[in-house]
Amino acid sequence: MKKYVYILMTSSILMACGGDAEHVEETVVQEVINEEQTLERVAKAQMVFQTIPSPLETASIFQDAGAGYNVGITNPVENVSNYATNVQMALNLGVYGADLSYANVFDQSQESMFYMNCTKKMADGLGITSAFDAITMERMEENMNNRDSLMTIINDAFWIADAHLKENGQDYLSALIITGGWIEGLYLGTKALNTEAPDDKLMQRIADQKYSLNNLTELLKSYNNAEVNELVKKLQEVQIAYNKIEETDAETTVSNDGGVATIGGGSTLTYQPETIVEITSTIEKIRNEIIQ
Amino acid sequence: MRLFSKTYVIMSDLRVQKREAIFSLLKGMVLLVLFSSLTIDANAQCKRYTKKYCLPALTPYMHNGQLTSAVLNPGDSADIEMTFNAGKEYRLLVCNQEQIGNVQFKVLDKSRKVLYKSNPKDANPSWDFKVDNTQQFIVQLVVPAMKKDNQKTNLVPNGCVALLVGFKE
Repeated sequence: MKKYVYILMTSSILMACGGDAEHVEETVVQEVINEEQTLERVAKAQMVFQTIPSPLETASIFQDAGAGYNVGITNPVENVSNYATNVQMALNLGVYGADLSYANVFDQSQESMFYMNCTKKMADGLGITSAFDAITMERMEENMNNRDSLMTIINDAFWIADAHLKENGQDYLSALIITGGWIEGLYLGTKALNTEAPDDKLMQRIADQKYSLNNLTELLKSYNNAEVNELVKKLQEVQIAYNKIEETDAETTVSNDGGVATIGGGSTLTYQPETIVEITSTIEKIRNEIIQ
Repeated sequence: MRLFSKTYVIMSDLRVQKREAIFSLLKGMVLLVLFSSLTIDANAQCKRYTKKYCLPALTPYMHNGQLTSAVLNPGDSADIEMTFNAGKEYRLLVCNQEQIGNVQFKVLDKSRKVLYKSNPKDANPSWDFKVDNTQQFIVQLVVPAMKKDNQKTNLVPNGCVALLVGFKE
């Protein structure tokens, strides 16, 4: 079998550095792996993790586009006891993580604490007790009113969760966390849209998620798992709507006038408002199925 | 007697084969455990390195919550697709352990036109930019090849490379 030098790629929806080690040992290791599928999955995971904005960035994008905090649209905290399988818990760890980012971006401290507890329950259920341990929960409470610090702590916890799953051969669950986070992030954004008189900026941000969806689907397809395949089928419903958005390319330009470089041209997405409304209703349907 | 000797030899051979098989299995298991622990250790080290040495360089940009870190060798390159949203200003930062030299990065558009490339002499290079429309770009990381003169042993070093993105409004 062909041998590959294994490029160890790690990424996460919500990133942070695991462990509190003060000293970084700069040792040298050599790694060789024989399995083709693993390399393929690593490559896809790398691409997808990079093309899907984290729930934090998604919430921030929709906030910029004029979305406000919408009370009561997040996954109810009482649903937390409904999730029994690893697939349900991983998906809803992503969902609650997105709700947590959403609450945090909009400075909803009390809501943040509720969703913190939900994410802990999901992580504990998956056996990742180190992600939201007592020290982490205490730090979160202490920093409840400090948005940036809280986000850093949340990032830490999600990175530990991601690393734990990957190191224990459960990387498909990591992909499900990403998926749950992406679905919930898009759902929260679409809920800010007035479908009777849709706002242009908000529609554009929803359309922009087209870039993430293809890669997300590709990542999930790389897992030979029946429940993951079911999720791919669900995502195909929203893919049909996204396929109606046209992408046109122009030459990219870089200008440096007045400080930071600006990249113009490139890809432009064109769509009908009905398509965005269709995306809105389809993503709501999918999201409601996964939080049941 | 001859029959007994023959049986004994066969049985003896079987014992040797069995012992060799067990030894081979144990050797395989030890190598597997060793490989797994090296992989996990390298992964954990890379994350610790990123947190301690790379994240602070993103300031004043807010880290977007994503991390790509890899253990790479001299001469390696990696293409990473990333989405950049209109309305945000971004900082792209590449940070790596010094034993593999200064990692250079390039930003390419869909047609692989180079929009930016960092100076190969810069350690931990970064680039600040914004986009008019939301775009997908390829960030290419290039680890410099090792010069033969500098190669004191046959061991090829590798090191952690992290790609971080910060944003602000």
